[in-house]
Amino acid sequence: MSDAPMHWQTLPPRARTMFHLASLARFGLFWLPVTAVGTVALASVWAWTYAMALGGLWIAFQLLLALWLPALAWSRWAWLIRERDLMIASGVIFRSVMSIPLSRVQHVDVQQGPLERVFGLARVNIYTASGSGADGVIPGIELADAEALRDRLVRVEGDAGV
Amino acid sequence: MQASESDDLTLEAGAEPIDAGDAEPWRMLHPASLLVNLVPRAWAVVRQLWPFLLVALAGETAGGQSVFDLSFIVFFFLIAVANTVVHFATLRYRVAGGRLEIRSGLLSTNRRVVAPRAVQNIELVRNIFHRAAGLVEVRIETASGEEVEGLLSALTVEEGNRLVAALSRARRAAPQTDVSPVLAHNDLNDLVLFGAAGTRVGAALMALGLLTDWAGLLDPKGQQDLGRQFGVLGMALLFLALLGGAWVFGIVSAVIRHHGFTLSLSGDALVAEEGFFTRRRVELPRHKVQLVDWSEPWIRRLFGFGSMTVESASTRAGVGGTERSLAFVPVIRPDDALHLVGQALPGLDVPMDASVWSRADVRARTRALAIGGLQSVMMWVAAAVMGFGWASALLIVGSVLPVVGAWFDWSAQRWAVSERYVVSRRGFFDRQTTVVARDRIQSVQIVQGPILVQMGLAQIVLRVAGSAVLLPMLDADAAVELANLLSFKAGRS
Repeated sequence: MSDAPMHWQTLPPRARTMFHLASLARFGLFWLPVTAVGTVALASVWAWTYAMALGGLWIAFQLLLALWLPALAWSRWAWLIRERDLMIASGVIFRSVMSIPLSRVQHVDVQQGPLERVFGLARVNIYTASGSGADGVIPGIELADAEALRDRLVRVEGDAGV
Repeated sequence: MQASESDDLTLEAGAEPIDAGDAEPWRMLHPASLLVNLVPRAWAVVRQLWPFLLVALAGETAGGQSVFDLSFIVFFFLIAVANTVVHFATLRYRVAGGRLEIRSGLLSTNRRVVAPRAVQNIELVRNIFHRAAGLVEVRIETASGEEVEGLLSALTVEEGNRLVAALSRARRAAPQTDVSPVLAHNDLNDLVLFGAAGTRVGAALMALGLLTDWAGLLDPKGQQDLGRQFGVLGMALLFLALLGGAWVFGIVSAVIRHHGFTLSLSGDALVAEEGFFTRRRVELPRHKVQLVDWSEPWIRRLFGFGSMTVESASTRAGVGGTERSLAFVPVIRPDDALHLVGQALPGLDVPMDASVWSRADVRARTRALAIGGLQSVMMWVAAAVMGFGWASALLIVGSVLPVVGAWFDWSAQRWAVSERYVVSRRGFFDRQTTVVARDRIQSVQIVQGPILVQMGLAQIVLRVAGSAVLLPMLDADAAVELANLLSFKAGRS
């Protein structure tokens, strides 16, 4: 993993803010209500004090993750187009470097959700014939860069090796 | 039966060309397709709506509910009939201008063009209805999606052979030969051995669990009676009986599915043929083969055989997920397996001798032993919780197995890379050797968990269409170099 060339493209700082917002939204809309329900359910079999303590610990843990992980994830996302392949590096706990030969790209999606539209960012999904969904994903990339990357990837001709 | 079936479904070298350009007339399915298709479609309706059918048949016959349920089923059945009729009436196909064209549909029409060079495999299937009517189903698959791209559900055998021959000519495949060298053949003894070597403990345990659940539904007195009649010895005997039943079922289903299995080489294509009730014939062009997987679980090795899968890139949605197009050889001896790998992968330039392949990094052994040790400790804890007794003694004795297994698994891991192929071998007890064509690789991924980062190790995942192949763990820097090499070759093709 130390073979990082000099021209890795990183995500713009706005993507970090977007990751934080998305993470906090997930925390507030999913983890908070789920933990509340779980705590009430636990309280029916345990003492309230224990249930509340466990629920509080779990919420604190999730909040810590929501505040800490997005910045780390943002710093780990990087991509690089080389002569024959696209490299994508990602992952906080489990790190991954994906190499997709350009001639294998079947199609490319540029997606914008509501949050991404607010920030002027986009998500690029790169598909090959491997049939397991998108092989490569780059979230939080500038829209113009996403479209340029898409055009670059679909311009390559090849037999797709299938 | 083998000889006659082979004669029926043999690609004819001298078949009359039908790709005569745009003047080629459109052809239609055989009229018997109405009957041949209706039964499976009706069965599909029954399968999808079985809860309603069950309620309708077992419920209150005097009430209005059953009448509603039955009319619901009849409605869907009529839709199946209408679909069958429309399918027959509107489907037309031809090979014209060097490509396969299929058009269908009444309200929403579809015209599909398949380039013969994109065809991954051609499958000829004859279920009992096809055989009774002298017909065949032709499935033509590309790598593009999760369905059969060219499905012609009922043609005469002659027409099916002619179509396949025309497609082979259109994609400029090597000429078909009447005499096909047989690469592998499994007789009844082989298939019985294959079925017998399957482990059925899981199925027996599941059946036992279901029976126990059923017993739980009985009233307390019934449960007491049952307990008196059975006891520990009775349960053990019942388990053995279930295991025996599952074992016999496994043998019978293996014989039925793979009856008369033959894999032969016809021109440039591997042709696999098998099946007792439903006869299936798959043709895989060798230049489309993406990987060969040689599976040798310990129990099969004990009987001196393994199984082999030859896989192309076409995939389709199946009942249990994505199904790949493949030729599966149930029983193959080691020497024959090496020969078959060479035949299935033209220009195989990697020695099929594990002693010269590279080993996994030695640090991977430390990691495997640590994980095995952790499992052992967990077994000790479980034994301590259970207290003294034969079960905890068994756990303590068995706790050595994860460590020993980890050691053997590590020692069995091998990999090799040549100009055209990658080989990966994993597993000691459940040994699996996979040879991947480098020019079929779709992407290369290097994965590191937190422990692997600390240890300076990494794992490479090779993705081909519909499959992923793991290489043994390597030094992280070596993994980067290897990933670059593999990706470079894949990108160059």
